[in-house]
Amino acid sequence: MPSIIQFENVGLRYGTDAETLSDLSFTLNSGQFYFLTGPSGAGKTSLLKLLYLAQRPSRGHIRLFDQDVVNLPRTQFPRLRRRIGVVFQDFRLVPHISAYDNIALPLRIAGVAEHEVDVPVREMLNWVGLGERATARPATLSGGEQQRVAIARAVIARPDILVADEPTGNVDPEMAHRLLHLFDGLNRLGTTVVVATHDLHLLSRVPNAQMMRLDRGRLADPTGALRYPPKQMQR
Amino acid sequence: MTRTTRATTLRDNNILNDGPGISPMPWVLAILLFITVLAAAAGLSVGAAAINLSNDLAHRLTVQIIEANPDLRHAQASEVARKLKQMDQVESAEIVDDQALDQLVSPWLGKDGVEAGLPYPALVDVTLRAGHEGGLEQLKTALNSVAPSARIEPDAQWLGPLAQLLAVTTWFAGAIVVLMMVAVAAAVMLSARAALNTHRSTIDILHLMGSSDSQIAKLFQRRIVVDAAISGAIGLVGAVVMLWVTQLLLASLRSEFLGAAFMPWWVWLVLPLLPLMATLVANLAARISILRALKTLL
Repeated sequence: MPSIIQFENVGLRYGTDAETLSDLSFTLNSGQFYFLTGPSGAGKTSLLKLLYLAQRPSRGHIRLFDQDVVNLPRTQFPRLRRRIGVVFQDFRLVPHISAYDNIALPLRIAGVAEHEVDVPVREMLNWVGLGERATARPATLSGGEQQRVAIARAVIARPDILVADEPTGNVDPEMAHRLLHLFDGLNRLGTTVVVATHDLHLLSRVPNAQMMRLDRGRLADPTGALRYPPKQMQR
Repeated sequence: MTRTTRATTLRDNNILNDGPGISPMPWVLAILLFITVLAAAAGLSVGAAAINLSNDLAHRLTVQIIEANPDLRHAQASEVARKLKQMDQVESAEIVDDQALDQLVSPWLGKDGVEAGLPYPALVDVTLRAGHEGGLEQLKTALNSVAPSARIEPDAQWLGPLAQLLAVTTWFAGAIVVLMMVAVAAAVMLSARAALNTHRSTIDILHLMGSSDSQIAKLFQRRIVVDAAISGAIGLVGAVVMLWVTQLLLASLRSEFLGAAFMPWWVWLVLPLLPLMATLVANLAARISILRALKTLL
């Protein structure tokens, strides 16, 4: 399977603080499902930020879609970012627009004709159970509803990579199951999925998923308690 | 789904919402445009007056006949006028009658001075044909034969400084218009920077979803252009009303001197171009400042 993301001796430091991420070297393959686990403060969100191009590393090399993103001019970032769907831990919905418009944003950014936006957005709203709340603004939605809007927004443009930071943190178990089922479905269609989570029970829900564990900014070898260690981890 | 690879335009859909507060920027722009339109109207009117005055002065001169003997003075004035009328380069030559002369000097000499019969010179107003403004020496030579004491004074000699003052005033007005446009650009840049800070989190979201700087800049530009257009219209209407009232008041005065301040008709057509120009300046300033600021983000 071709690699889609390659990290080589990657380190990330915020300002003059100690490195948040150190010596990360791994390869993620196209079409695979990965869980990223680790305790709070281990650097999961920082690693995801590198994946969805919200940060450049302080050192090392990252290749994404066969592009060296460390030296890539920022004018090239939009093209790559459109191929990545992101579910943020804090949802990051645009507060002034409706759930419908939030979900439609990736399509509009990608230049999808306006008459072709409605059907997929309605389908996605219905799928996440928010068909009746299309016009609601994020502030009027519950935490779980906001999370579902965030997930719908992340997947609507059929990204090549889906990155999700604690996507099931605010939803009930049934919705968590449905969301994972959606992610799994997207993965079967070829999307590479990376899910950061505390919830170890989720791991068993996706049998073919591989796992990466972060501890204090470094990739740790999987313990015997965790199944499916990432086969592509190198060094 | 059909996707374009070029930088597409994001529909606004209220992505940038400034909340219930009223931004001062449109009002600042409206005031700037109001002043700009007034300055431009003044500048263009004065400029037109200066051009008219200069054109008039270039063709006009006064012949003074300085002769103490009133009979001889009148005879020489008549002869000078007759001689001038025969010359090709002269369009008209009219003797200023005694009554008009009395009116002319009465502000300085008073009624008693005028009635004292002081021997002030006879005057002949001369208008030259276009293209013959330079032949003063030839004119002088011709007149010396009939009136040795005749003195020729081109009107440009004493009204020229006034024409220059008007021309300089026009340039000042032009400078004010330019400065106002710079102020519009500065106000827009400040406003755009403030808006960027206000909407920083939304910009981050759009960036992370793949928006280009150009797409984001267009969202802000649309807002700013609409604000600038509305502000320009308000400023223009306010200034036009003020100018219209001023013109009506000037007309009611029926003053020949103040009549020069009347706005030529074409100035009314030029004034609406200023808000358009300001809108273009605002659009450009917004784009430049926003793109510069966005470049500092990842």
